[in-house]
Amino acid sequence: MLRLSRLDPRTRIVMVISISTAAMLVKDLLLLTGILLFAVITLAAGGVELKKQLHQARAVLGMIFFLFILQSFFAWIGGSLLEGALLAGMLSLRLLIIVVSALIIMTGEPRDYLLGMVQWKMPYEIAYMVLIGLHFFPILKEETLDVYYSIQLRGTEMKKTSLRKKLAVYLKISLPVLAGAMARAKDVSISMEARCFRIKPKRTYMRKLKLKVRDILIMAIFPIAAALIIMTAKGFLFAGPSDTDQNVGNYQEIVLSWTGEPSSTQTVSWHGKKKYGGILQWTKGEVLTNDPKEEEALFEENANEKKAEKTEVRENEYFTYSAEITGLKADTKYSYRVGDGKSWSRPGTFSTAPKEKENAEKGFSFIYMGDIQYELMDRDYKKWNRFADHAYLENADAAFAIFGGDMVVNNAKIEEYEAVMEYGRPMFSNMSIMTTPGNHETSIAPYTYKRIFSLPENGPAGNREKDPGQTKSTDLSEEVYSFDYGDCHIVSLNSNLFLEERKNDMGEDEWQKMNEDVKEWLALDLSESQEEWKIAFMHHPPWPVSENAEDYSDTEVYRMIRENWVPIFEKYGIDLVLCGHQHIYMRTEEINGITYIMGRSGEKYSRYYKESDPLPPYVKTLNEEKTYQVVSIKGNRMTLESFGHGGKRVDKWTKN
Amino acid sequence: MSLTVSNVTFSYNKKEKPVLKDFSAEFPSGRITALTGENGCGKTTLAKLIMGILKPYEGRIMLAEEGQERKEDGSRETDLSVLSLAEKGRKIGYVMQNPARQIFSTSVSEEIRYGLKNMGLNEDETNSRATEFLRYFDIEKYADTFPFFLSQGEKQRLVLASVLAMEPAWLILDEPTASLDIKRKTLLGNYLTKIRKDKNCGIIVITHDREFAKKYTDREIRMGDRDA
Repeated sequence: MLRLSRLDPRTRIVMVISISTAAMLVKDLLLLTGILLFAVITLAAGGVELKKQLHQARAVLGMIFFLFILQSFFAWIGGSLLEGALLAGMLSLRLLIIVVSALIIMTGEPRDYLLGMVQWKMPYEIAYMVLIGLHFFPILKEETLDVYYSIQLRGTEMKKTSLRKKLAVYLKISLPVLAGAMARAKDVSISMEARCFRIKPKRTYMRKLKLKVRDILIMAIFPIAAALIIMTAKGFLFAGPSDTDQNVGNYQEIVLSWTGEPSSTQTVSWHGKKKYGGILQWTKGEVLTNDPKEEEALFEENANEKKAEKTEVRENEYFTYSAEITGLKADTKYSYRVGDGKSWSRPGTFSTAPKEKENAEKGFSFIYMGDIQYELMDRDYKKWNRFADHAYLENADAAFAIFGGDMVVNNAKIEEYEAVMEYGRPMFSNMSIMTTPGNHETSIAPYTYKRIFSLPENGPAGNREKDPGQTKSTDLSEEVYSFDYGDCHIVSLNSNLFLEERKNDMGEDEWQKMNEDVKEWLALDLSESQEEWKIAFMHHPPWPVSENAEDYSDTEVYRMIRENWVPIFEKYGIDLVLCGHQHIYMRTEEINGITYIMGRSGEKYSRYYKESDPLPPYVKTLNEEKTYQVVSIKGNRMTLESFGHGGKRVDKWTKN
Repeated sequence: MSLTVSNVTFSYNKKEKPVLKDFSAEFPSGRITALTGENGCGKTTLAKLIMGILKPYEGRIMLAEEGQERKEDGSRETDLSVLSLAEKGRKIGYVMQNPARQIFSTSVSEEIRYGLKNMGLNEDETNSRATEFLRYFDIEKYADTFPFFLSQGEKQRLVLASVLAMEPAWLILDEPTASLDIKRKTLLGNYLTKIRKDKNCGIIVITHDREFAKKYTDREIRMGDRDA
């Protein structure tokens, strides 16, 4: 058996560095367990009395166990127990591996390691200082204790004092200990100089370390093995074809929407930093298994193809590919995939809307999500990811989803849009997502938002000069639009048109004219629609929970919506208005025939609503939890249900 | 009234030979006892055991005090191990071998005042007593100095002043004369004699200083002889 203590000290250093590096970089539970096992076997085979060593390390082991419990507990509070336990398990395994591999180092004296390092050209001065430092540890400990006792002997009851006073005592201890260390350092350096330290640049060694063949072998094998393990974990090696993330890899930011008729068209957009091949394939039917061969077969047989239009969202950096499929059969399920002709995304599915009025009997539902904006980006989008996945899985048969704006915080930050699309992937790539910009997607106009999302251009934009680059505030395309699904007509309005910035940028006259155009279009659009049910959505609420505002313009926007749009809504029989902005769930009483819903689906809490403020008389239901809404329309009945954390229903409303 | 060490055994490491084995001694109050013996014979260890910084494996250390009521078991002694360090510090003053480790305040006068404030003295009493002891140990001029700038001898005097100012009934001084010059040794000796008389203090002086021991102590316990 090869005893670890007989190996060159440097070999042991390389072993420990290799093992702990692998432990730090690997995120796979199975691989981590393997590494731990390997480290334990190495120790056992190397003649280390494991039982004894572990007994000595029991305090650390206890600490690791405590951390595991703590981490699981907090993750559980944060949402998922299983996920938390997995994360905690990973963390604990890593710490264990590091503790166990550190035992390899314990098979030698610090002096040996320093000698090894010095013979490997580490400056002798540094090594010597480290060695002296190590030797002074026991003395520092003794000194610290002496001061600690002295303070108590002078009348301080440590057991009875407050935490604050205890901390003050600990601070007092550091003073003499530090002063002592400094004095000693000075003394040591003077004595060393006095005894001609460093007088000869080249040193000779009484004990010259020499690497044996086995040392060289181990030093070669360990780092290579560690590198292989890390590469495996990162997916550079052995990435099986069933690894779904790997396959979707480059095409994670897919968004379905409608730019045309929902019963005969489907628009597919995908995004990325690279220049993708912009080909969209679609075909009838779907593959229900996860088998890539069946997927391939489905598209091989009978696929249609279309080349996407490419939009530069950020010059040479970030692109939107978008293709609209036309001539689809109503009420039919299709599969699609995007790619370059050789490599493809995983297939997604979409269904066309039934022919107008045909589905009055059958009915349909859609999902509504209010502000999903975060406080802390990574943490809160991850939480939204679970919420969105839940909403999607519970309502996979929903016809589409509406987003009420403020999906991001920074209107021009690509990373945030990417996070929203990636974390919302199952929903975004399997049902049409119809959005309206919030104030957080808006600078003057929602420029970046419009280049990323593909939406109908049937609004009042048709009256004015079209701006293909979408950089002019006068261009209204995709900001105001409408679409029909079955027996329902839905209008989307950009409430940010009423913001001062837009007005100033357009100029007062132009802005006034735009406002008139929107009103004229809205009245015409609603009056011409034959559908039984009418819904409007926008970001700002006409009827707020509170008039508290982060800046004055908010209340001005509410007032403008009430004065300009609400009379038209009321005149042409809108049933339901969906909005957001104040980060709280609210349902109003019916106000002149219209029910207003304010949604909030993200982690950010309301800065508007204060419990002490009197509520406006029209508030029917209020809920501070994050929720998503499901609106179902069947025949002459519309139902709205609100679901909170874990799918708990918190509100229900019906209109006949 | 006395401090009694009975049958104390102690070692720093279980495997090694004990530093003190079945050691017993009695220190009467109103006397100054010199504790002598070779290096490593356990003098400082004994001091630390009495102070409760170290705990004996076996044996007891008892303190009998004047006016103390008889306990339930009939004894008039207190087992020192039941007292906290803060309580013990009020009864027994302890000056360590290396006084620099006993200084933890940011000024010389603050160092003296620390213990006095803990005793619950009011501001006036604290000030007057602090001044008295600073003056006695000749460090009044350093009152506002950062203590770590003092010389070794000055540090020793500061610790003596800080501990003695608390007026304990017992005193343990570990090599108190090591850094003192003749003049200050005499002052310390005189002070010890005075408080022994005035307050009936019991004093233990660990020392190698034969002359000091001869001149100022009443009795001597030589350690390590029996064991050797």
